[in-house]
Formats: sequence, C-alpha cells, structure tokens
Amino acid sequence: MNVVEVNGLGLHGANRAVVTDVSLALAPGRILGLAGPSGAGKTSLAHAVIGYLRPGLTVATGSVRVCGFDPFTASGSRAVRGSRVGYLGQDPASGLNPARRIGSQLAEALRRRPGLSDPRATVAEAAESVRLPADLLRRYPHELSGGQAQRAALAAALVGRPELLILDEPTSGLDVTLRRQVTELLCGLGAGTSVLLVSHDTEVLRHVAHDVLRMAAGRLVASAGPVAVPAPVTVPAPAVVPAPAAVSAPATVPAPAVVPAPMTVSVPAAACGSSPASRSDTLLRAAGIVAGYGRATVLDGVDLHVDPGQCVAVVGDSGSGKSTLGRCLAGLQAPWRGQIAVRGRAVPWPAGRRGADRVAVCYVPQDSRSALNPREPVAVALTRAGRAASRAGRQAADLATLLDLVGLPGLKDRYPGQLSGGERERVNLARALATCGDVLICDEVTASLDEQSERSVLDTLDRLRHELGLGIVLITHSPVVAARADATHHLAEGRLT
Amino acid sequence: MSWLRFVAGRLAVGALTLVTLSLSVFWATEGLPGDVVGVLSGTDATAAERVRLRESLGLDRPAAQRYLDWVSGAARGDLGESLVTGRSVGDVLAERVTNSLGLVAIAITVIAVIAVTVGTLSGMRAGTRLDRFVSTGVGGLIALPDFLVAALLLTVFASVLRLVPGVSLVPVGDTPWQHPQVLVLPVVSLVIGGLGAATRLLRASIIPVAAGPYVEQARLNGARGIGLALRHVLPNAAGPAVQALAVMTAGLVGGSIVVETLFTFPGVGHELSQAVASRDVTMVQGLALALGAVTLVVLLAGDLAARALDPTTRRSVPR
Repeated sequence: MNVVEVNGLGLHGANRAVVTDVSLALAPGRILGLAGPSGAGKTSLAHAVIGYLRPGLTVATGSVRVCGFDPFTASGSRAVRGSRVGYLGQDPASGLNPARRIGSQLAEALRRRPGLSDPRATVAEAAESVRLPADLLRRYPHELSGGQAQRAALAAALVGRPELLILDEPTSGLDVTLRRQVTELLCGLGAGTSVLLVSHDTEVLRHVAHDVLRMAAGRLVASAGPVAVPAPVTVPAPAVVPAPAAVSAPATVPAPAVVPAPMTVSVPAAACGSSPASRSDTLLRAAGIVAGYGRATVLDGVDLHVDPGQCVAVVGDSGSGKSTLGRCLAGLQAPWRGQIAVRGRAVPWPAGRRGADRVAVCYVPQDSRSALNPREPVAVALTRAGRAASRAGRQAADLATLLDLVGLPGLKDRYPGQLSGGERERVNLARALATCGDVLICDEVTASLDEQSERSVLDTLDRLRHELGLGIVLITHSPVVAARADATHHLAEGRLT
Repeated sequence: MSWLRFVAGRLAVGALTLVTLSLSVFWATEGLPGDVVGVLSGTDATAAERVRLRESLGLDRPAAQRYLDWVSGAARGDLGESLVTGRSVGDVLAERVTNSLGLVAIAITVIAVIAVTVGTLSGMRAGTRLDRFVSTGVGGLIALPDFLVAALLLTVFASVLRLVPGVSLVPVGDTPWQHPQVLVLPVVSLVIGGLGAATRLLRASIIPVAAGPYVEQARLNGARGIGLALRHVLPNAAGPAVQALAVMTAGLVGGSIVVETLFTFPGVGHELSQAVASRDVTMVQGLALALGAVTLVVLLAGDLAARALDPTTRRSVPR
C-alpha cells in the first residue's frame, strides 16, 4: 500500500486555482521530491497531504489518502498528524514556539512515539543527527540563529520517527556543509520512513529523491522518474564553489513549462534618489563593531566598508553572527561599541535616531514570514515604505516598477498569507528597494528561491548597483550567491576576514 | 533593558501619577458645593458659629497650604482625621480595606477563570458559530448597565427567592468572611459587570497567537484541543492576557464603590460614598487617594507580570 495517494486533486483559492488535477503516489521507504518555481503550489500540495488548507483555500476536486486515512476528515487528521506523519514547514524558525525551550519542544514531538525507554537520550540523539550542539537544547528559539533554529525544527520533525515526513524547504537556510549533513541524514532514514521533500534545491533533490515531480502554476508538468540511486552521497565538497552558470537546472530535471516572467524591466534612473555625483565616497563604513547578547560576545571588532556599486558578501557558519552584523549595520540593534558612517557622515544607533538617514541602510530580514504584516496587502506595505522614502527626501519608485523589479507583477493585492515562501522573500526585497536606501543588507534573501528566481533576483541586484550605485551586503550561506559579490568576507569567532 | 531599570522606571512613573492624582483629588473635593461646616452646624447656626467651627477645623487657611499639609502627612502615612467623627482616616482604611480588596479578589478570580476559558475557546475558533455565539453573549453582557444588574439580582435572589440577604450587614466586630452569604450578591454583581469586557480582551489576545506560524506548525504535527491551548497558545498569549486582567482589576476597584454602596457592604467604597454625603472632605480625600494607589499598584503588577511572561525577555543561561 502506498503511504500517500493523491488523485486528481484541485485546490481553489478565492478567485484562482492554486493546485489543478494533481495525482501522485508515494511508496513506503521512498523519497519523493517536489520541485518548481516559487508560487507553483508546492506548499499548498504538501499541506493538503496532511489535510490542511490555508484560510481561503478549498478542495475543488479529487482526494487524498495518507496511510489509508483521509486527512481531511477529523478522525483521519487525528490519525495521521504528529504520529504517522511529521511535518516541517517553510521558515522553520517561525514554526518554533517562542515560549518554550528547544529541548522541551523536541520532547513533545516524541510523546507521540509509544514505548520509548529513554526520551532524553532520543532527544539528544535527534539533536546530534542535525549537528545541533547539546547546550542549545536549553535555549529559547529567540536565542538561536536562523540556521540553528532551522536544524532544531528539523530535529523536532525527525525525532518521532514518523512513517511519512513532509519537509518543506528543509535546507534553504543551511550552508553547504550542513546541507550535506542533512542530505546524508535523509538518505539514511531507511525503509521505515517515506519522505515528501519540497525543495527548490536541485542538488539536494538529485541526491536524495528517488523520484522528482516538478510543479508549475499548480500542475505537475513532468515526472523526472528515478533520478539517481540515493546512496552513496556525492554532494560536492564545500570547497568547490560552483560558478553561477554551472548551477542551472541539471539535465535530468526538465525545464519548467511555465517560466516565471523574465525580468526585462529597465530601471529608470529616477527610480531611486541616490545621486550619481557622490559615487566616489565610501557608502558605508563600519568600524570596531562589538556586539552580543547577555554576556556572550558575538561580534568582536568587525570592520566593513561598502563602496557605491559594490557588492560585499558575508559568509560564515550558522550561528557565527551574520544576522547580528546585518542588524547592527541597519541600526536595528545597537552594538556595545563601534562606529558607523553613511556617505562619510557618522550615524547613531538605533535607526530611529538617524533622522533622514534612517532609511539609508535597509535590512531585508531572513525570516520573511514574520517580517511582513499579515493584515497588510503587498501594495500597502510597499506604498508605506515609499512614503518613508519621501519623508527622508528621497524619490520613491512606483509600485508597478518595484514589483516588476522582483519579478512579481500582479501580486499587489495579495496578503502575505496568500504568498508562497519565495514570493514573500521577493516582496520583502521590494519593500527594502522601495525605501531607496544607499545600502541594502540582504540576509539570506534568496534562501528559499528556486535557481531561476534566485538568478533573476541576483541579476536585479547587480543591475541596481551598477546603474544606481547601490551598495549591497549579501549575508549568505550559499557559494553561488557569494560568487556574485566583488568581495567575500568570512565571519568566524566574531571577526571578519 | 534590565529588570532593575524597568522596575525603577515604572515606580518613578507610578509616583508621578500618584502626585497628579493627589492634586486632582484635592482640587475636585475643594470644588464640591457645600462644606462640612454646613452639615455639622445644622440649619439653625448663626454666621458667627459657622466661622468659629470653620476656624476650629482649620478650613479657613488657604487651600494651597492645606494641600501641602495633607500631602506631606500622606507621605508619612498620616491621612488626617474625619471632620465628622474625628476618627483617623488611616484607621478606617485599615479596617475596611481588607474587606474591599477581598471582595475584588474573589470577583477577579471568578472573572479570570471564566474569561480565560471562554476567551481561549472562542479565540482559537475565531469566526466559527461558537465564537459568534460567545461574542454576541459577551456584547450583551457589556451593554447591560451595572446598576440594572444589581437591582435585578436584588429583586430575584433577595426579595423573591430569599436565598441570600439583600443587604450585606455584618454584626459589629465580625468580618464579612464569617458570613459568606453576604458576599454572594456583591461578588455576582462585580463579576457580571466585568466579565464581558474581560472575555473580549482575552479573546482578542488569543486570536493573533492562534493564527501564528508556530501554532499552525503545532497543529500540523498533531497538537490540538487542551494540549494545543495549554502548551502553545496560552504561554504566548499570557502577557497581553495578564495586562487585560490587570486593567480589569483596576476597573473593579472603582466598580466596587457602586456595588458596596448598593449592598451596604462594609468596605472602603461604602465609607467613601457616606463621606461624600456628609461632606467629610478629609475622609473623601484619604479614601480616594488610597483607592487610586491600589489601582496603580495593580497596574504595575500587571506590567511586571506581562514582562516576565514575554518569552523574548527570557534568558536560558547566563552565557
């Protein structure tokens, strides 16, 4: 019997079909990959497998069976959720309960697994399997970095040893080493666990999945069939930094039928208000930044400067303080010591005290889900950012231009809950662009984008910096993204090298 | 911000509010028509007798001077003496305050239990039939005037059914706790008066949490019902919920004045309304200031509790 059987499933939103006529089957012990551009309906399909529909969605056609149960019935969902099926959603950091320690959340996931002699040891084992240091189990979610939180959430999904694991972008925020470890982990799950793996990462899919299904505009466009024998793992070593061109979709996965609108919008010179006259100045100069939490020092004397049109990448291990640096530069967090100057003018902390310079340094946060107001449509969020730019004496770009820049035309009336993970990230980016800052700090902005969207977002950033002299700091774990930068700095033990 | 700075800041703001409160209490009572001299001397007194009485009570001195005397006395814990009976205001307060606070404490406990249960149920099912039913009922409860509720309770339970006494008279020397039946109607009136608003506030603090990403994640991993509420929703809604209950408690301290007067319950509120009737300015000022101080303490406690319950202020280990 198949673990998952989906027959002719159609999911409808208020005025559009989100998923159309999808049929798939997943046999025990198999790993099924689900690929496709952002907004293709991957997450909605994964939700449907455990009988969940985001508000506004309804089942129009078809049926779903999981372990023989219909998850859309009350008894069926009780039978599968948490016990037979483990689910890990997108933006896993926001899926952790802020009020409880990591260890207790792992222990709760375990309670549904009967007859366990030593739950503490099992929790420790699960943490170890995702390389989560044991002392982090005592922490609260807000005390973890984005990558650490992601691994904690993954451990919570794994610890119950469910028959079916549904993982939505489990590797999006992880660096190459961690990604390879997670890949090995999934390959080593054995025959007892089937996996439905939603990912935009063709490398991971190729090495883990027995079959890969590709979705575009709510339909399955092609089945790639058996891709590769999963074991042994042959993910390239982290030292190999693939050139961007080499990462285009591998031949085994056919190109999607529906290609996201290519971004051919030219940036009008007046779109943003930075004047080309001042291009020679250093845009952003940070010196001796020392910052931390409690008694722990995270940044220990970081210097960084960004010239007009320059793109600087900051890479480093998960938990090394990359996001802390980004937040300090943007003025969201006051460091213990250090100075920062924008265009040669020293600016104070926090950002609220920077006057007209408060929008000079923009931050695009990692967790796109909690960064957008759930009750505010895209157009309102962008217009509000544009007004902030106008107040600071900058000329705001108009809405349509911004959405075209990030490749999301026609999404202006959607609420964040109606956007896919990749679309949310790009809306976040558009909002930062709307403020017409001099420097853009992008914290893992392409982490949950498929390669094609990632490439076009990076192309947009490249064009913006070349045409407008925008400075860009790319915080990233991905060598592909870092390869776009003029300079790459490595953050380790509180110092930038 | 550290706890020390937070508490110190709140205490400073509280002290400032108390000073403002003392000013408004003093000048409001000063502006009341008629004075204690008229009440004490009766209608037959001559103008000369009235002047003598006014001098003997010290009421002929300038108001600013009397305010400073009163405030400096209050700062030392001396609220002066009743102009009518000559009893120390502090003594009356000490005798009555436990009765009033006890009454409010019982009422807020009942309100908290019902409001948390009903508010959570309805907030976690926002938009369903149950939620609409609860919201309608709660709206009706809020719309009911308090005095109408009290009068209705009196008629039904005291006059018609004769289950509980309509007047909360307590034999001299006894406390109300020795006669629980006298507490029933005052507590029920306070509960009905405050329950509607408290439930709405609780529901409103539950809804955003219940719609949050970690509750969605927990639901999708099988958490539901009481487990979902206790482990995922309530811990994250506790901060705003406690604030709501603190504001509610502060409101009940004020509401208890009406209820105590209505049922002649031997509390501060009852004394206060009697003092107003007899133009006993010192008593009114002292009791009003004390009730204001209690309200400020309750709100401060709410702020501290809400901060302690905010998960992002927690530190797992002093690293």
